[in-house]
Order: sequence, then C-alpha cells, then structure tokens
Amino acid sequence: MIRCRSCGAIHPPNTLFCDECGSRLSEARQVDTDPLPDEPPAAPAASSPITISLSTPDSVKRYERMLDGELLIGRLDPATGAHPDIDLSDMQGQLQGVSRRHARLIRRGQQVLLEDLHSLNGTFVRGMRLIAHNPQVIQPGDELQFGRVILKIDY
Amino acid sequence: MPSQRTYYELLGVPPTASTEEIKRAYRQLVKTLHPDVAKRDGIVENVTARFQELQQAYETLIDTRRRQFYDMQLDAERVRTMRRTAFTLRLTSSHPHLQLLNEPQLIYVLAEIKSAILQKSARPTLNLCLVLDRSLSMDGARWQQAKEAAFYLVDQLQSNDILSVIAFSDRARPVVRGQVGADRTVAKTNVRNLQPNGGTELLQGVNAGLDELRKWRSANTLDHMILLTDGQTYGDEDGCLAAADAAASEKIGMTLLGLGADWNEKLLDEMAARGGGFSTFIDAPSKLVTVFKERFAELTNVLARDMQLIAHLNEQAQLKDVFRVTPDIARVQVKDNVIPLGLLEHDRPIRLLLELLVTGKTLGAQRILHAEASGELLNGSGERESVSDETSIEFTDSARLDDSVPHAIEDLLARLAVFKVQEKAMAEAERGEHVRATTRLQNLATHLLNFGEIELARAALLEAGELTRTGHLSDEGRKRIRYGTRRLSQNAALNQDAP
Repeated sequence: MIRCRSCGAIHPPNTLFCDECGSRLSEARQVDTDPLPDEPPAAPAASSPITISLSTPDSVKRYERMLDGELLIGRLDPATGAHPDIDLSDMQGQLQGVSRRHARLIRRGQQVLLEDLHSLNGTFVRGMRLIAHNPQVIQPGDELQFGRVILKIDY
Repeated sequence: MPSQRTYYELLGVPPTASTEEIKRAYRQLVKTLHPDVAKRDGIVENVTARFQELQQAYETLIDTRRRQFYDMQLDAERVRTMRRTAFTLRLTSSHPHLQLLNEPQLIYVLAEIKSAILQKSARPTLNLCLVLDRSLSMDGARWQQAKEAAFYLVDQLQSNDILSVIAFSDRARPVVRGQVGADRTVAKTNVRNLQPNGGTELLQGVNAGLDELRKWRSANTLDHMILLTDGQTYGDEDGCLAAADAAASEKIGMTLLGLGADWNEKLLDEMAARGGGFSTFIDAPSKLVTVFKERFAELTNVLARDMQLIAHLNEQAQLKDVFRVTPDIARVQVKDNVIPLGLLEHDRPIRLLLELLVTGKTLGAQRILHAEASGELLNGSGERESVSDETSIEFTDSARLDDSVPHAIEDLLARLAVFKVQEKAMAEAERGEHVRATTRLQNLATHLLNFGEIELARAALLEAGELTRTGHLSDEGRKRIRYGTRRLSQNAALNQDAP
C-alpha cells in the first residue's frame, strides 16, 4: 500500500494519482513514516547559483540567499533537527503559523520552484494554496505566503 | 490440413484463459466428444478427428512452454493475414513489468479506437430528429436562438437526409414531419410559427422524437435525436431512462443539450451514458447555434455507430474503474464486461482509461487483458466490424527502475484525477458534507489553475464560497464545473501531438 503525501489517502502500489486530492503520487511504495525526514543532498547545478531575495511588503526585513540546489524555509528548532536555510523565527514565525519545515525553494535550470512540505497552515502563491509536495514554478515579483508571513520574491 | 480455428476457439476459451479454465473447458468437451459417448448419442461424423484435434489443442495449451510458442505462431499468423479494417484498437499499459508482490497493484491501460480510413467517402445519410422544449421558460432570447439553430439544421440537409422537428411542453407535437427531400421553406415556416407555453415534460418529447426516428430508420441512415431543454422534468425520470435504453438497443443516438441553469444534469447525463451518447451544458442562448454547428459537423463525420468495447480479464486482474477520456471525460457504463461507446468519428478517436487491480501469482509474462472493439459501419453495408488487442504484464522478482510510464498516459491521468476530485466534491456537497466539499473545491481550483483553466478555477472558488455561505452549490456553478472538467482532456498532450 502507498500513502498520498498530501492528503494521507491509501492506494494500491503503482497508483499514479490520488483520487482524493488529485495529486501525483511520488515514488511507488515509498511510505513516509518519519514526520521529519532527512532531505537528500541537492544535486550540484550546472551553472552559477541564482541570487534569491525575499522581502516583507514594507521592505523592512529582507533575506538574501544563493539558490544552487534548494533552500529550506521554516523555523529553527535544534531539538527536532530543523535547520532551515531561511529561518522565519525572527518574524514571529511560531505565532504567525510557520512550520519548522514549512516549504522549500528548488532550482530547476533557470526556473525557481516552491514546494510546500505539508505545512500545517499552508503555503500560498498569489493567494492560491499549494498542494503539499507539488512544486510550483514561481516568477520574480510573486507574493509568497507561509502561514501568515508574506514575502515577495525577487531574483 | 490444419484446422482454421485456433486452439482457443476449439476449446471455447478466451486467449487469456488460465490453465484451470482450460482444463475445465476440456473436461466438458471431452464428455461430449469421447468416441464412446458420441456413438451413443448418434454423433458419428469425424468424431475421431475432432477428438484428436481437441486433444492436441489441450496438450499444447496446458504446457506453458508449448503455449507460449503457439501464441507466438498465432501472432505471426495474425500479422500475415491482417485485414484492412475501418478502425483499429490499440492497448497501451502503464506498467509492462511489475514486481511480484503479495498484494494487488494498480495498472492503467489506455485503449484507443481510431479510424483507419485514409480516404473519407461520402458522409452518412442522416435521419435526424430535433426535439425542442417549448415550455414558457424558453420564451425570449432562448426561443429565438433555438429557432435559429433549427433553421441551421434545415439548411444543412442534403437531398436524401431526413429531418423531423418535435416541439414539446406538457405534450408533444410534430412540427416538421420527416421526409426525404422535405420543403425547406415549409419546414422553416412551421418552426417560425411556434410560440412557447406550458411546462416541461421530457418524456413526451423523447417518445415523440423516437417515434419519428423509428419511421425512417434503416441500416444506411445515422439515426439521431438532438434534444434541447431548459427545465426540470418531474416524475417521468424513470420513463426517460427506459426510453434511452430502448433507443440504445435500436442504435438510435442521442445528443442532449441543457440550456441555462435549471435542468436536471444527472438525468441527461445518465440518458446519454445508456447508449454512449453526448450531453452538455450551454450557459447562454447566444452559444446555441455554435453548439449545433459543432455537433452537426461531428455527426456528419461518423464512421461507425453502436461502438462497444468488450474487456476479457484473466483471473489475476480485476476491473476497478473505467472512464472515457476523449473526446471528453465521462464515466462509462460497464455491463457484463461490455462498455457502450456510441459513435466513432473519422478524426476524433475514442480513448478509454481502464484501471486494473492485478495480483501476480507467478514470475513471467501473463496476458491479463484481451479487449475487443466492435461497431456497425455506416458505409451502407451495415456490417459489424471487430478488432482486438491484448495486454501482457511480465512479473519480475525485483522492481524495474528503468520503466517509465508513457507521458501520454500520465498526462491523461493527471486530468482524469482532477475530474474525479470534482465528482467527489459534488457528491459531498449533495450529501451535506460542506466542510469536506469546500476543501475539495479549493483543491480543485488549484489543480485547474495548473492546467491554465482560469475561468474554471474561478468557478470552483466561487462555489466553495457559495457552499460556505448558503450550504448549497449554485445550479449554474455546479453545471459549469461538471461540464468544464469534462473538457480537460481536450488540451491533453496526446491530442496535441496527434497528426
């Protein structure tokens, strides 16, 4: 049996799409039991890294990172081993509904994708909630929302 | 001289039969053919020869090695003698190899039925009946456009086509009597003089329409009803379904068009499904003529009618679900492994996605599905043509990592999955499970956006809001989503790279 990572429905092995939520079921028979799995190391990119900047709508707070494989967005919590690349603790992350491992930015060629990591309060792009574990291509200038934290992305 | 019948035919079993089934069939046949018994029953002709033939067939088929070799010979023979058929059937499986597991696994089989005719001959002769709802609610722009649509049909007729027009409200009455070479001016005048009044009693219209069609139907004509309604019918739903069944058995096709928000989409869809027909939603009267034009073009493009697919599964496989995915997405009816598919057009293939639950028993290749597509050709001969194909799976002891699912199947599945989410949301809303339905509609909107269906995504979000506020879906939004998601397969990868 395999389990849908975004809604938890159970399906026979080799099922490709979840009937319940419409998501693509990832690798057959890979069952996620660990709530905080280790991420596989990111593959090295062929060309130079992309500089990503995330800023609050009032531009008071700004995070700048190099994106070469992927960047984890969440809240620092050494107890559970959550060491996000972009730590939203300093934006009152916990109060604002940010999960420890909330979402990640992934680089694919020159494209940047955002994947929700089954966060409790959701990840939104231009106001639409992402389906967990379904990476979406995002554009410079998009407004991203993690829980209640809103950040504009530029690269 | 070798027998013309295959060993499978001799034993009366499908090519997917298991050893167990073959043994059973053999034992039954041996009882009737054993020289001693036959003599007693007075069957004397060629008994010994037939018995020997049967013996040979049996011994070949119960031995796995010999059966495989025989199957290869059969395949080669089939390729050599392949007739030029009017249409073809091709099965494509999502997983040619499966790891042997002790639990059922899901595989998808895409069945594609396609015209094989390169040079189109003349279009089929039509025996059409237009059944118009003339209830009071049709008054105004709706009626004006319905008349325009009727005029369009009248203008398209060729000299040997037949068109009848029925108008119905609480009762039905023929407005234009079908006859070969009817006077167009008279037909139009009769339609023009009609005024809407009364309620909607669908069965009245359906029955009167079928009666007209029956007068003129023949092996050479494409007999088809186009029904247009804008209102709910009350109390005659069962009668309508029975009429749809009767039409299906007489090979009379149906196009059921619902105008505006206030008609029973479940009834119309169900009636269409009984014979593999077509039903849709028209949101504005201004689109009526366009819909008629498109539908008329499709009808004149028909190659065969009464199409059906028969699926024989071996004992390791079980049919979980079947959907038609093109020309549009719809749940199809399966009765005793027979799936009615209606009309096959020259340039629009019929594609089905079959979901099979497969439980492997032994390592090695297994034929799990034998499918046969058949239909009645509309080339004047009235003959039925039939083609078949098979799907095998090789069970291996470890997972094959190099297998990838064909892109066309994966893309169609993604679209079908969204259609299914829609079905679930509608069912939940109807059962009063508002919270679940709302979440599902929001989820649906996200998927629709991913497919670039912005309008449809907006409709889904609006209905999610409507449900939270009022506890109901709006009649219009429900139809917009239901029929909009059916068209999701029209932009599928498969359709775009088709020649």
